[in-house]
Amino acid sequence: MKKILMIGWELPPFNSGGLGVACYYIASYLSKKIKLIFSLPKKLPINKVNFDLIFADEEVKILESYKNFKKYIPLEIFEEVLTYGYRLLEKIKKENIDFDIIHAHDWLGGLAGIYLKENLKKPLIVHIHSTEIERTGNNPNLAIYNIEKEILKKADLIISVSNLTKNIINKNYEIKEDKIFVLYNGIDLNPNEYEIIPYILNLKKENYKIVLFVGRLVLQKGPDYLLSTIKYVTTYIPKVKYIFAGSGDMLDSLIKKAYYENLLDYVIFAGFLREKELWSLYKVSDVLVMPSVFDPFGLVALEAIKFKLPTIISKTSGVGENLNNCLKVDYWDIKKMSNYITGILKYEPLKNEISNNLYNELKKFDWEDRVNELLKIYEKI
Amino acid sequence: MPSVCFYFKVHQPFRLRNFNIFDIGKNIDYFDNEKNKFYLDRIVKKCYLPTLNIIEELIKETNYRFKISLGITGTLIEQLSLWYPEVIEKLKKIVSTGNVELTGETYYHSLSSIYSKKEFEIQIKKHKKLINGLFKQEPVIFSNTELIYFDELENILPELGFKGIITEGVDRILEWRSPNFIYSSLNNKLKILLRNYRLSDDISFRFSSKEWIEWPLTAEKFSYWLEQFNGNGEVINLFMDFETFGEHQWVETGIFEFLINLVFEILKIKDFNFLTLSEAIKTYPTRGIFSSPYPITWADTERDLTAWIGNEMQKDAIERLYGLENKIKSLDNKDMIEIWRKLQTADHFYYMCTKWFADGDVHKYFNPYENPYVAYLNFRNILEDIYLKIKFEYKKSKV
Repeated sequence: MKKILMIGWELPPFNSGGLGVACYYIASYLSKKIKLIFSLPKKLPINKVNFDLIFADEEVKILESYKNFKKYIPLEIFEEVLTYGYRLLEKIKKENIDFDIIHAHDWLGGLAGIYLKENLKKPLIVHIHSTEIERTGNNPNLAIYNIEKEILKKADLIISVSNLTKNIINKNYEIKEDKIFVLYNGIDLNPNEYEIIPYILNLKKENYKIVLFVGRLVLQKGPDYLLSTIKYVTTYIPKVKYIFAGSGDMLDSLIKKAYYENLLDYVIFAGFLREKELWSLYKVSDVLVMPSVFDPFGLVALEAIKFKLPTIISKTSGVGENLNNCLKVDYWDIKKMSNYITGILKYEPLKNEISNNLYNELKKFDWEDRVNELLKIYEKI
Repeated sequence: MPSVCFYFKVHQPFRLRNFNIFDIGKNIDYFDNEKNKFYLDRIVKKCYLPTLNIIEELIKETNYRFKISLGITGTLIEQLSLWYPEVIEKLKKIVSTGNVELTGETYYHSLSSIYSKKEFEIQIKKHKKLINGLFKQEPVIFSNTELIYFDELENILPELGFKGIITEGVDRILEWRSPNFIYSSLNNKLKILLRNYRLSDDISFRFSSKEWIEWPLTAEKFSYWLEQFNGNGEVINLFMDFETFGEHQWVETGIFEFLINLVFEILKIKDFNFLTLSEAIKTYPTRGIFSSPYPITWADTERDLTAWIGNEMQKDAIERLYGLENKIKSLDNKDMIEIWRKLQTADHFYYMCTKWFADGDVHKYFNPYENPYVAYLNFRNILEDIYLKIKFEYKKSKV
């Protein structure tokens, strides 16, 4: 049986983005079926994992995730990325670690992947969770873009989390389609503990309908488009609250917009929420809207579906490719989005049918099943 | 001497325009004539005209031995009168040969037989009047929407002049018996013709399917299958949508050539002939009782109504619609009653169906909505608009 070296960047709870979550589940489920070693660039006090961990560096340090990068990337991160491969190779040699395939995540681990591939002559799979093009709305940091391009060119095989991202890799990075395989992310189907916030519970008691947004408040996630539906929806459903759970650099402008358009009464900016509180929002809301301008995957939609929430997503969200029963809109189509939101809040049968049928689709995203598909991809190399 | 009965259902609904929440209360039309004309253009060119021409030719070339029955809905005839009167003329010409029998239908292709007996009778009578006026024929065989049948119908239809009805040869009711005989209803008030679904679906559903073991289906092969019923069957009922020809099965599949060849092949078989539905019930005796207390249909694998009223949205929409019957009728506003009836067309509820089976594909082709949820939302918004209109009309009548 083949042995895998998985090159990651972060793992929960020391993660700031979805990359760490996805890596954690892939590694956990995969290690039950195949021999696997997971590497991180720095040492972290992680002990509750069921797979073998190695650290390229003995220094203990939590690194920033790529998601928080703005125009300039901290030099420190660049240094980490550039030296990750060298340090990892030393470690592998020293500890005499043996493997057959390198599976590296995003550009953060991808460059190390290239370094190992060239030095050890092992095949390399690069797993793309998002590209620089997507993260920046086609306004990439050229240094990162060029690193990504080189990684993608040199990889023996590429995994992308959706066809949307596959097309970007194909068009914007000029990589042939037949080298790219789509592997949708999964979701942990175990129940989540939740703790309902008293204020929200009170709203429910007063018969308010709740429209939920979960995600960073950044252009890519399109919170401003959802905000624009309020003035339409409240014409038909006066007792409604829009909860925006997440933080980000658009918060100021969203508050200003709400103020100038007289919408503050309808909006709650809940900030970044930890698990139990976040789960409780899914539990009490009436509809989730994910209006992303661009989302390579969009785990939030699956989290909502797990809580039996009817879900509206933008057509530019990768997760939608594998979901038949959610309502899909163009992120800019405010009127259609308002029509859908109002319909779900107003017509009980619509809400029930969508949420039940969506829930039945969740089994497609069982990590067990996702990892089986990954094993099939390994066979192609 | 076995007979082959061809029956084609010819129907188009009045499709609805996109009616969103913002349109409620603004006195906007519900029906999308542009969309309807678009679909009609296509179906007339791809199916209706070529198939009717072929049927006309076949009747002549077989020396009037080829016969068929047609069930044409009122909603289609209205659209044809608006945009394709030449198709009506063609139909008149073919019917005048005496070899084409027209069946009775609900004018609006509705599920009224399930929801309102009163409305059901009105729509049948309206359809009869239409057919009589245009084609000078008095339908005596009834073909319900989606071939719905249940025992209660034998207490309604004979009084409206019907001697027989067609429906699906459902296995769970027939058990060991064959669909290739005439049956009678529970209390002998109606004669029942049963669709041979295997042979009918071979043409309408499987004809061009390359995964089918019998592909390619030739007229010789099919008529050979028919021949096997000589001695153990009296009527072989091939009932299908008229759109089979040129629409569900495209011209490229060779469906038209198949139809032409099949007619001649069947006439070559010793002792075989074609009959219309009423001729068939006159020619052959009934051989048993066919009874179903619950509605059966010719749809899907379940042969029930779940494709129309299977989920919560469908039930909500149709129950709300029929729930308006008394109110709408008491307003005495003809336009509103007409709109209410056009909304009863079964297609509107089919578009809201959430079960995706392989055998639903035939219908899916014509679904004008992105998904069943949007279909419901659209319909439900229209109902909301109607509620407002009713309120308004009531106020007016009180003033």
